[in-house]
Amino acid sequence: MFMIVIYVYFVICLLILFYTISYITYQSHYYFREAQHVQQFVRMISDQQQLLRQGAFIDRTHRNLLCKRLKQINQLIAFEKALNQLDREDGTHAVYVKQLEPVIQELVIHYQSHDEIKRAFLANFIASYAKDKWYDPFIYQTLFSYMDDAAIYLRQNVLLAMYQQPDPKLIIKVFHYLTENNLFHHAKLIQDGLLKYPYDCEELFDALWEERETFHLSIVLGLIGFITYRSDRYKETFYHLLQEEQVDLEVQTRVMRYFKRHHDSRVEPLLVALASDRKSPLRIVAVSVLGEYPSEKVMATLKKALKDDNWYVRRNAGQSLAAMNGSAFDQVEVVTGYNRYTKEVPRYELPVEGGVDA
Amino acid sequence: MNLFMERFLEFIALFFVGYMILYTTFLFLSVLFGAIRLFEKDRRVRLRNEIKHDYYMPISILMPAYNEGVTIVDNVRRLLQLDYKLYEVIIIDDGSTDETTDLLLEAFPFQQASSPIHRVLPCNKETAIYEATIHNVKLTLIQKERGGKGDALNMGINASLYPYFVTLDADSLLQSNALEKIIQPVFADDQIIAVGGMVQLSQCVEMTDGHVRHYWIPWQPIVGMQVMEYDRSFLASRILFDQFSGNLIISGAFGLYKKDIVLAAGGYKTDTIGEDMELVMRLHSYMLHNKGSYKIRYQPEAICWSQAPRTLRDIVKQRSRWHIGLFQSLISYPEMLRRFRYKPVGFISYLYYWVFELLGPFIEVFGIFTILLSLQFNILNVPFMINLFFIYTGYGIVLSLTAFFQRVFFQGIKLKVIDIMKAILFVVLENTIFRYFLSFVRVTSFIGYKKRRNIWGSITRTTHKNGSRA
Repeated sequence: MFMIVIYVYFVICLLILFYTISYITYQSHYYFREAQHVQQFVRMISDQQQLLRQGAFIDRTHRNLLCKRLKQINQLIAFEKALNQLDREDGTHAVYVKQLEPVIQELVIHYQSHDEIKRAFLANFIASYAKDKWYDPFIYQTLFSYMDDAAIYLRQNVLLAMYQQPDPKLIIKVFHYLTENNLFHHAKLIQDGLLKYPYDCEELFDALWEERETFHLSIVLGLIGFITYRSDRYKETFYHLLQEEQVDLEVQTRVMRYFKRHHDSRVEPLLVALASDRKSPLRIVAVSVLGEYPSEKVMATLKKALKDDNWYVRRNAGQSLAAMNGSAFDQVEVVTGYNRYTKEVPRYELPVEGGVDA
Repeated sequence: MNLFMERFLEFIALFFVGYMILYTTFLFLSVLFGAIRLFEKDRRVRLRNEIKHDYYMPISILMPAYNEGVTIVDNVRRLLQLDYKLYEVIIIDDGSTDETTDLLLEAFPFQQASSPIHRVLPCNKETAIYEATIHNVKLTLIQKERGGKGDALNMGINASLYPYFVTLDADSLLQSNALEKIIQPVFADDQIIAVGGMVQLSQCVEMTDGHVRHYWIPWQPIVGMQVMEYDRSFLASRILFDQFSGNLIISGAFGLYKKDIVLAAGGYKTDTIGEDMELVMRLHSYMLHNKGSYKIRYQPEAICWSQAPRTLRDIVKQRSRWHIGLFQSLISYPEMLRRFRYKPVGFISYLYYWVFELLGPFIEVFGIFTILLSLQFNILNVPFMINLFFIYTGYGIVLSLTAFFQRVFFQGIKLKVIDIMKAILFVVLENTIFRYFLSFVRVTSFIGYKKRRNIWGSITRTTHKNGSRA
């Protein structure tokens, strides 16, 4: 019995070994063939760019040929490599890619019936080249249909493609899809993806912010991060948000960080109140943000925070005090007075090498 | 007496047949899953199905060191050139008696710092802290009283700034994209609390700027056989366990952890030898007890090259430590089977490590003893045994070679014919001699193990291949 089992395993493992070796051999052949295809595409594209320089359009037969060949994923990979090899700075490159829009329209339909790995590649291809070139909503509506049962990689590539078209509604649609299906998408991916949006960011902020309550928390966090990097127009909105009581802790934290980057004197009393609230975990961030709001009151709050039970509050308060460039006298006073906690942090944050000996 | 012995040996034979069927089935499934997953991964990467990002999470690299003067400066220099936007490197010198700290102070523009370290995790006292910033990477050197590797890592966690930390052995080389690869799963799934990287042997490579320029199989049989052994272990079983987040080991040589979870679980234990495995088991236990959703991932694309022992003496020391560490970790968490027996990590991973990793060497040595006994009583079917040995060894050879070729292909390494020949030779030696030798080493590892508690494992280090730049 045992011998039969082990013989069966042995044979199957032998087959796996042969498969592995054959696959490795095939891959070297594949890369050789791919290099040939890339060169072929480079020549074809260069010919078409020549036509464009003469003021003509790209050849219809060329377009038809692409429609046919790019339906094979290996050809699409080679085509993308060929596009990358060509000089993007050449004015005809952008014109050539723009005129490929009908090809893309056909490809998005074709790849709908393929597995998600291939769909993700097409979405990534569109994300790389769509900017200022392919606007047709049909392409993006079809890409949206790729999201059904999609793995994170496909979702991310579809999102990257969506950020390259100008209509915020399509981005909102994807965010709704992620939220309704409870699909996790890291806030940082959302934030950095949105930062790639090449069109009117103001319009996008407003459209997305209006819908924020229908989005998953990680999307809202990403959105706040995006706004923080791109706009100081949300001071009013975020100021009111900071005053609300039923706001998620992480949202509050991000909003407070917004005010670290975009100064607004109205939030100072709010931050001081948060920094003084011994029960609120937000005081860790509040004392850090207060470093950007130098005043007598803030200084006093930060000095008080140096006696906090929480090490991170003490550390951030010390760093904020040091960042404020307050008079050395004040800091030495802090260092030499109060108790052990008070002395601990600012001693090392003073802009004097080695700190001050208490 | 003979009848009793005959019955006894029959029973033993049946036990062995059952054990071997289970073990061969496990190996078979491991390689099958490994093959499927690696080919799928290769396809995904080729077709851009990965979270490729310009800027990931900031990471703290913790490098505990004890008497690592031979390699530490070169390795830190290489760490400062990784292809990653924001990270810090923290070297924790755990009371070295050689010139580890002096060499580092000489090589880098360190300045003594007096910033306090927040003691969230207990660890021995620091004696000096030095800081430098090189190529925008913050480099911290902490000298502390000797307390063992776990204690040094706890100090590193306390001093770290970022929400994720990577542990790295002081003799290890990271590929330039290793940090990017090891953090990628975290972006794909918010339940991930730890990620293990793939550890390979640095004696096989010459690296330039963090890229493998040349790869070969060394002529030294001890190193060559370990290459084959590592491939089987890292590529096969770990990928299989990864299907259900069931890996119980993340090698201390290269692993990523979510700091807040590690802090909540209590950090590294300082009185154990296998602190890396113990931590992973504790994370499992902690998350299961708290009914938290979590995943522990294995990421074979994140590659670290680490030195393997070159002498029999070193390998005996290393494997003895590993086996004792395994034993300490397994007996510390019996609830994995008692309370969480319906979880795959309990009834598959935990049982696997007990039966095939911890007790396996004893069973194998006992098997050899039984064969000798059967021969003595003249009840051994010699042709059957020879047949069994050949088919079992042949099976092991095919599995190891499959794992080796898969790994080589996956890493995009080009092999010369001579290296393929060496690989075949070492696979045969590993399956016919080395694994039985290691079984014997593991069986004897418990002799005097209490004396070896809480000490650093040390093997003879050499500088990485001359002229190599990472």
